[in-house]
Amino acid sequence: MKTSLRSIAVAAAFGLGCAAAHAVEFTDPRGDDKGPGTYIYPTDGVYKAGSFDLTKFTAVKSGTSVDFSAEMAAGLEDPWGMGGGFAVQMIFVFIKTGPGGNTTTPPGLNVQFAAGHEWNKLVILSPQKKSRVTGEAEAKSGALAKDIVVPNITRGRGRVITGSVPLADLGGDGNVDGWSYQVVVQSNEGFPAAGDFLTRKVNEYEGQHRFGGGNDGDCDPHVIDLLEGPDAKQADMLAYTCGPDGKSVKMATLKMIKK
Amino acid sequence: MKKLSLKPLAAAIGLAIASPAFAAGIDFSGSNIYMKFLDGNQRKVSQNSGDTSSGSDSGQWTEFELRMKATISKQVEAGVRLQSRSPAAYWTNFGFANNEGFSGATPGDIKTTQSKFVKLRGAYVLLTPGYAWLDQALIGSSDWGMFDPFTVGQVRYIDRDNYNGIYLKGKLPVSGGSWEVGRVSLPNYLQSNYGQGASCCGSDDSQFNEAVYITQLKAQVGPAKITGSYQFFNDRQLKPDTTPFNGQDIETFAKTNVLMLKAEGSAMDGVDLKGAYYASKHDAPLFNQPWINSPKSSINDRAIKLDVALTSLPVPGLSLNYQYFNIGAGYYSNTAARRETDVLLTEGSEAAWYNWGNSLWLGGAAKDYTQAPSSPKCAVSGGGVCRSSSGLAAGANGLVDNDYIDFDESPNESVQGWKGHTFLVNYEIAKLPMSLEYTRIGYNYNWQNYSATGPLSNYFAANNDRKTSIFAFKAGYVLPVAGGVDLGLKYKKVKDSNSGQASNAGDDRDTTDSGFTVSAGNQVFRDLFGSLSFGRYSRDIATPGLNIGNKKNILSARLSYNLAGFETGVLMQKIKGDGDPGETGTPVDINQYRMKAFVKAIF
Repeated sequence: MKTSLRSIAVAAAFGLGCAAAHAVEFTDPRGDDKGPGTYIYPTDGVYKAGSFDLTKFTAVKSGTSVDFSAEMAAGLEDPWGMGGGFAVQMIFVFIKTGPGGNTTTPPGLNVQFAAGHEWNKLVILSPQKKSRVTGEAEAKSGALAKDIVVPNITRGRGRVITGSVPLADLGGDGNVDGWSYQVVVQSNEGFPAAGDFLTRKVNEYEGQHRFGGGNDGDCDPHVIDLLEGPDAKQADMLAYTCGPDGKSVKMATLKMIKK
Repeated sequence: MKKLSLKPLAAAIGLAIASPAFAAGIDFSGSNIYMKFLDGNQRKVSQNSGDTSSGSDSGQWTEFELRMKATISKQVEAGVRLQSRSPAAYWTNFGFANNEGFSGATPGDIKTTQSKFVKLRGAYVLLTPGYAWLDQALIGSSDWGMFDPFTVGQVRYIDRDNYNGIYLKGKLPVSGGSWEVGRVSLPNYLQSNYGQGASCCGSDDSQFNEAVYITQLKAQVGPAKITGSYQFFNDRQLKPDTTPFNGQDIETFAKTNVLMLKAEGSAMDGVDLKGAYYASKHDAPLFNQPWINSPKSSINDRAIKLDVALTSLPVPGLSLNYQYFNIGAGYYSNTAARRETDVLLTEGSEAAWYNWGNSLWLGGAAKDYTQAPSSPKCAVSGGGVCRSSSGLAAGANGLVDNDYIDFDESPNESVQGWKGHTFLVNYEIAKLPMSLEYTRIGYNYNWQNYSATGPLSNYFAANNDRKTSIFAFKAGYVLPVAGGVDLGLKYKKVKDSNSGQASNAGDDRDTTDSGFTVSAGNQVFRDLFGSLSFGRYSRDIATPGLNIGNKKNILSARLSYNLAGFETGVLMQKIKGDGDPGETGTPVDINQYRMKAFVKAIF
């Protein structure tokens, strides 16, 4: 009954918003906000249980734009006064809109994409102002910056973070429901390490503002949750191996998910 | 020339030889230069700190902050924060010695906040030794955000390094289990015997070793995350001692115990529950003084919070939140948050009326037009109108600290003594998110003829019969033109009444705040975001002797410009209206312009 009502509402929303509706929705299990399985939230009180637990992701074509929304398990709060209704989360939406693309990711995530699962565009839903995100992207992401798209306005309300970008900025054929996606949940870090792209680090031991359960080097994926698919289990994608010097021996390798 | 070139080279070689093998590179990220610009038609500057709260609406000045973090080894990290202590070193001072106080006739003329001194704001060492029983040990500065706002609360922004202590953390052999122990050196101004005159601050050397001890345990029990803590503070003072050769005698001046138990979890998908219980026991056997942060004598009390969140309702886009809160007037922890942490679901009073009666605050606070204190500092000699009708005792320290804020920041209000309910409904349809809040507050300090020497006589007025209701509606919509125009609407009504002394109708006071705000924002181009907002507010005050109508409009323009490593922003406001801020019986016109801008380079 719940599903039926939701479907009706989604269909109604499409009817209001666009002539030819394209939409895709993914759900993700609750309680898997532990990265590869061992990650622990920072100890500061602003990181509420479920804050980084992705439960649903939708992409909806709306006229000449695409609306993205990521639903978290916990209600959003803005303890740092960012102004957009949320503060601690940062969502990376990797999209495969066509052939080719990138296997590397912006610095600070410490993940790569598998061959055949390259991303063409990356939409970032951040509580930081658009100009801060695009500036960081250009300063730290090198050639990837041209494929990074930031919504003009990103908002968090209830448990949902939303942002809308022009379809033209995403390229591809415009068939939102035919694209593949991977959604990575990270934490917004206003004072990132020099080479990191507004991302919060994962260390061996959790700290007041650092995730724990990983490695003090940059060999572990700094990803707290992501989209899981039938052939792409979170633990498998985020499996990694570190060398004794903290350098990566096997990097976490993500896959795209398609409906 | 050759000498000059060789010296650094030789020095570098020498340092390289001398450096230990484990020396690490230093991370300076987060270091910054911050410049601030205030302008306003009150044309006032503060000699001590150029923030609006300190009495300034004019001037330009610069601060510099240097952050250093060194990962010395896998087990040892150390960090330090240095900052120029010059929040009133105005550009127009030009660095002349007389502005920096050096030529002053007396030492009291030295103005540290106008001198470009650099101050050690904080330093810490973090150990992660890798023992099975100990995950980490932090020694030094912290903002103590690891505990709870009602026990050891996070320290406010500007003072976030000022608290020092020792923090240890390890795992418990249960699911999700951990233990934490903290020893927080308590600032002497928060100690119970601060302000005792000769027996205290001048001669009581025991104050330098006073600390709050807290232990906190966490565990996952089924779907519930359980957290419990116990904290203890024993404030001692020197005792007259005729036998000093066997050590100095001391005695307990005041003692506080705080117990906390809280749980949170999902009862089922879409049903989240939270509950928290706090109990405090404050013993003050020796005690009565005119000014103090602590209760004046012994008192026990408790605080309770219960939260229910329903997020998977049959109606798509609908979620409901409910909170019950009951915070004892005498619940007391000397390290509870006094700022920075929002502890209740309600957004509280209307910020547009914050510090009404102070000419610098005619527009109140601007930050999202949300919270403002109903219990501000009630210093009789201070700015604004000090009214016991807010529930506070005249001269009370306000229970909450809103010093050093600007008009674009959210002030906080104390929730001590509050009890009531909040209902919050969020609903979104056709990309139109809305929220509706209703809060009803009663007060645990609703009492009559409270003793002038009672334990809470320094906090609350002797007679209160107060109740408050808050209604707020918010809606937003992104108009799909010009790359998206972010539209916002807010309506809020706050009704507060206090009958004061039951036998005296003359002290009755009803205050009704209502107002709306509309706003529109747009990413003008890639690096610039701009917004305009307009608010219209009224505050009607009814007393047996005087009915006062206050009205004002606030027109705001905000710009925000970013480049990589650079941020600048400006907020300009025009406030216009009429009313009687001083409650003199003579209405006045209100006309204020104020502006705050900043430039920040982060490297």
